[in-house]
Amino acid sequence: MTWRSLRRFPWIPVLLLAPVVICGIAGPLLYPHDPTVVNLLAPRKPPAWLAGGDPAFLLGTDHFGRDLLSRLIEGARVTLMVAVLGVVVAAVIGITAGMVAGYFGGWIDNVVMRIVDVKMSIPTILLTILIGSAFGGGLVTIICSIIFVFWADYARVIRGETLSLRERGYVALAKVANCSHVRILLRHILPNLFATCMVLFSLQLGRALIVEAAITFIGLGIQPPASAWGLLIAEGRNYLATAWWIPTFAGLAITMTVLGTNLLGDWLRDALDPKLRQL
Amino acid sequence: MVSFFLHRLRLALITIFGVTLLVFIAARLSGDVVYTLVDASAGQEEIDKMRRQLDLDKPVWLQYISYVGHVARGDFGRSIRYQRPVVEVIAERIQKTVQLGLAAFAVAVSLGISLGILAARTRGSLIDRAARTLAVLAQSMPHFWIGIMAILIFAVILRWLPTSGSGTWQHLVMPALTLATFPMAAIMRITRSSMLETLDAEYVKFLRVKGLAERLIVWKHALRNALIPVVALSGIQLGNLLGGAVIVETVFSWPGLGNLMVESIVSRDYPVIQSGVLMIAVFLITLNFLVDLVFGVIDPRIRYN
Repeated sequence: MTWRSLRRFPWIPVLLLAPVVICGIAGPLLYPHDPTVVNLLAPRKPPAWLAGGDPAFLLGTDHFGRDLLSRLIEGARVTLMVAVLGVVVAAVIGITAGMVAGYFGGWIDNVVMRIVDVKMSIPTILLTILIGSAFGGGLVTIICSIIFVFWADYARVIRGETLSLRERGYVALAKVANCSHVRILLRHILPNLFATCMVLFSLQLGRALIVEAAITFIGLGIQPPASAWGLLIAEGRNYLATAWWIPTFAGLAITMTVLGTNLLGDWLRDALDPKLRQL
Repeated sequence: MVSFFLHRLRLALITIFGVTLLVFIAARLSGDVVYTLVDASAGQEEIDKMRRQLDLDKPVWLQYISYVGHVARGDFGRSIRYQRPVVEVIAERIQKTVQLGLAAFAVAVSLGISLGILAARTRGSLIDRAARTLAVLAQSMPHFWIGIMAILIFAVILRWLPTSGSGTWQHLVMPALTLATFPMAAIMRITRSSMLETLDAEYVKFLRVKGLAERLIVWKHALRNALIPVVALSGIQLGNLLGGAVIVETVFSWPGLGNLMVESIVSRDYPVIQSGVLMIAVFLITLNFLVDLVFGVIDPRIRYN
């Protein structure tokens, strides 16, 4: 590896995201304590470096005496899983809809774009509240909300790109060579959308994490006793005066992850295709 | 111009139709409304009567038409929690949300545009880098967390501002600033890049060659052109602001529409949630329609696109 390629490597986003991803994958192996064990003798212990802190509980304990660090690690797993799953499904739906709309045009395009318009006219959080009112709270609501919110962005952007790609010479040649529409879409158009998809995915992952935390915060998302970062902030909010560390560290975890995905998205955009600045 | 107007109007009406359909589906999925309206002791006869009254014994598409008919006449149903028409319950809260939203919007636009111009003019400097870092950071933090941290610092530790509620101007400071962070960062970023682009344009170079003062070039000539995308983005940000208000109002117990929506989740007051979403969506669609028209008048290129 040369010095130049080392300099170009996205160190900051990788360093921000690595601990989160490791916690998400290897979670149970890393807990200093069982995150679900309640210890009513040690509620709201401050972080280890403060007066009254206990070295056994590095980041302190929550209102039930559970180890905050372990709960944060457990939360990484739930939080990441929900966001990644939601954005992946949204990407599959959105890319398909966008390609079909852009490639075929006509009434299909019209229908897809009008559905996108409807989604765009409702602010994200209100849309999730509406979905929550239909399905009740919980994991299903969060994942459905993320899918419903984010597919439209893919559809809109991918449609625009497909519109210009379908006019290319090689697509015309493929048609002359009697390729089926499916083959043209999968072999000749989809590979050219790769850069756009990667950049969008990375940027949306960050947005999805914020949406997920917000839904959980207002009580429609992940329910206790599970651990999720949004939930820790919601719980910690009630102990702000006596246990500031609960919401503070949970929020820092979200900020760190979202910052990581945003910077990674910016880096990908510049590395893959600087023209995508508008995304 | 007339065909442009009609085209946009048609799109807006189709979108409103789509929103009513979506809200109607959500309302049907959220359970049988009859059981929330009759007493627990009600007999089958009473339930059937209520069902007939609400047209729930008719086919689904007829129910939808009757729903749209009611909505068009301003009848959004009754709040389960307050036992009053939804329109009244929502109307009481709108003023507070408008107050918060306008304050936040003013902060976001004024600070966002000035910081954006400053960053563009000092491109590559420490100020530029600091402003851009702050913008990225602001867009990476959840609203509610910023709000809670603000309460921790300014209300709990420093005791400068009240923790929550409304009434005096002190109550407005933290919620408005919290709500403003995200749109401010977005407006700053777009102002900066649009300003940089404009300052690079041929006519600006000509003004420089002509010997015009840099101050006049920036404020009189470049800014006007650079602001077009900023104005377009600000319109979109107004919608985001209404969404963000839901969260921020909850954090600060600000008695607005957003807070009402979240309370309604807890009390399962679905008519309020669904009508609230519908009204806000229609408001935003109308707003965007008007913004589009204004842009069509200002910039003929958009009309023919």
